[in-house]
Amino acid sequence: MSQLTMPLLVVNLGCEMTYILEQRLKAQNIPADKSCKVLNDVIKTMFDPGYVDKLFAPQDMYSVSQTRKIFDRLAHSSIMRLSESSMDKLFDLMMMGFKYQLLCSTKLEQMLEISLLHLATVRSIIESLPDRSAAPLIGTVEALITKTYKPMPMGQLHLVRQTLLRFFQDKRVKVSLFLQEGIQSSMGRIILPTPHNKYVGTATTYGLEGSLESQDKLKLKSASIQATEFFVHPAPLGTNLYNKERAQVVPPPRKGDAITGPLKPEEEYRTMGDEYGERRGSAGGSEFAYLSALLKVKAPAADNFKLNLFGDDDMGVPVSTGKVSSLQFAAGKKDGHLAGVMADMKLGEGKAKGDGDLLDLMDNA
Amino acid sequence: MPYSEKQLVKAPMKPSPSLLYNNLTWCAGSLVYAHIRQACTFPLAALGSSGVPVAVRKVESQHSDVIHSVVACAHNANSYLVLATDAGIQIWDKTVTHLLHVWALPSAAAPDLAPRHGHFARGVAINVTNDGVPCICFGTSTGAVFSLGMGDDSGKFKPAPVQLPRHHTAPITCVGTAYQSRQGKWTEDLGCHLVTCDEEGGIAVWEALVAAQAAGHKLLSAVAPTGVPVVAVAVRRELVVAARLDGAVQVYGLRDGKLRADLGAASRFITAMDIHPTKDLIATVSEDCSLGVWSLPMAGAKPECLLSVCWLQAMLTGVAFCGPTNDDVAVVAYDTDEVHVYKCT
Repeated sequence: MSQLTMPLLVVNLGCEMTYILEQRLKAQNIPADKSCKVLNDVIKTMFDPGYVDKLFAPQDMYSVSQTRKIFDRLAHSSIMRLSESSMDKLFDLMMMGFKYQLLCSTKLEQMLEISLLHLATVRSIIESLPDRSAAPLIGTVEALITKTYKPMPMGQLHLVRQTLLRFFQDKRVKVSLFLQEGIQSSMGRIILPTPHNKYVGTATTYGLEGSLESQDKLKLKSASIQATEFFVHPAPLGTNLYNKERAQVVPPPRKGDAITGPLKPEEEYRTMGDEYGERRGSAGGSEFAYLSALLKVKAPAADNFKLNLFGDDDMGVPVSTGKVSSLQFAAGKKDGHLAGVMADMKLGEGKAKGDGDLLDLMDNA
Repeated sequence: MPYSEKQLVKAPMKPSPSLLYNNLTWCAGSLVYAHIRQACTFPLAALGSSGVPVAVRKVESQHSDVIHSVVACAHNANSYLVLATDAGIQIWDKTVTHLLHVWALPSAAAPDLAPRHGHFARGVAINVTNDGVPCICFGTSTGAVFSLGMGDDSGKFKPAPVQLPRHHTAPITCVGTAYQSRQGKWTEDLGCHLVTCDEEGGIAVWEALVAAQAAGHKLLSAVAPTGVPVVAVAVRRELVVAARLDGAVQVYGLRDGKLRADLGAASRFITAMDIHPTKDLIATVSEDCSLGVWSLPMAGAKPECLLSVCWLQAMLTGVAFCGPTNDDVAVVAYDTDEVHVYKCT
């Protein structure tokens, strides 16, 4: 499998997470200074230069549970703290967002385009804040993404794609926003772009000398399927779909599910909370200890506030659970759990380790 | 030969197939596909009417290695299920119950290749050399190609394969032979040629003269890399049929490497192609949800489309001619817990 998939995975999932957090901070009218701090902390931690260097080194793909832990720690890099179920739901949205973008890419180069659009959008979010100190870090990542993936030939890019899609295999969650805007069918399947173009069905034969002998256009029954069955959301892949200022998209009516829907749709799409619950139980202590040095976690701020992560008007909540999850900012109070988490982390240490694992370097930057 | 989109049987199955090249194979009455680190198999006879789930048996690859190819190889009365993985190859009996042979990739990758990917094996086909030795041939991520000989009488495999002379510099994507394309059914036009393809779109045709020697494999012809990987390849009547990632199926002369025909089979990302063992037909599937069954442009005949369907919202990843006469067409899709079989009437 490809050993250059982790940058795309972390960058794109991280940007999706930033979109969601930014939208919730705005929706809850969190004071600007606090929103600014949260977003800057997350971006600075995610794009810390030492961590980024290690991220772009060739390495095997992390598992879903390992990646989940990375973002768990990232979410705790600022003053906020998430309950397990809130983090599960956030991760669901992040995963389904990037999975949708991969499945609907019709060219391999779109993986690069999606990543750059993610980064540009996050930079515009940061640059709209009073404190823009995280913005230069994004430029460095953009340059690395371009340098790594732009020269890649088709075969290698497709191996990257296959490796990424192996990561997302069996991860299926219905997202209300995706259902409403026609990204997912009512059965939860991602609607794929059309299979029709002018080349399909063209049959050309050549003589022994290489001269053109004949060219015919074969009639394909599949070409009669209505274009609406292959609806493509108009927003470019990687767009911030959680931006409230964006005009909502109304998809055309589609018969697809009635024709070829899965035979047992409800069983396939369940909350991923159950899956993470099982994995939390089975994850070895040594694995968490190893991963716990990932992120450089700052000391909690003196003040705190409560953020409602998935309110009633949220269009992104995973459909499979209807509960509202609260995102608590409990810094400054005595919190046994947070104290325990903090005790595991190495704070304020010096230089990065030599050839330390990706997960170690976040804490040592 | 009539195919119709209405002659379809579909059944739930779990787990879902991975997105690999050619992730479905027909092995002695059963269909086999890969789910990450598991080979998954079920008998076609278990497929009843639509909606009735099939019972899939899962076989973990040795040491839980990630599977890159799953290919059934038939020779005389025997069939083998070959898995190409991150670690090397595994050869199982036709019921995927007994592991018959394992060969591990050398630990160090080629030093001149940049570390863009982990080391793995991919692409498998059975061949019979000119000196009569049946061999399982496979490729690797370094571009090396190996041929593992089999004792005809004993059915046992040689301890180590022979490496063909170096030619490819990009990872091998698929391997094909006329014998593989005939599913082990002997015909007069089989020959001993081995075709290897790589991620840069290069194609090499080898004459396998002597099984036990690297020098016994001679490069006969080559198609220069086009930049578009060949994801599946078959050999039939001195022609190479190559399915490329961009949706084209191209037919080349086996001996001269010249392009004879080009067919637009899909709009993007072809993932699999199978060739009928006794008729000049191919089936192609793609990530764009389309399945096509085509007659090949051979012996002056023009290509025809015999079946063209879309499995909506599904990225197809495997196709196989199957059934008692190999006329039915089975299809599976990435991350989809279902199998579709188009019956030939």
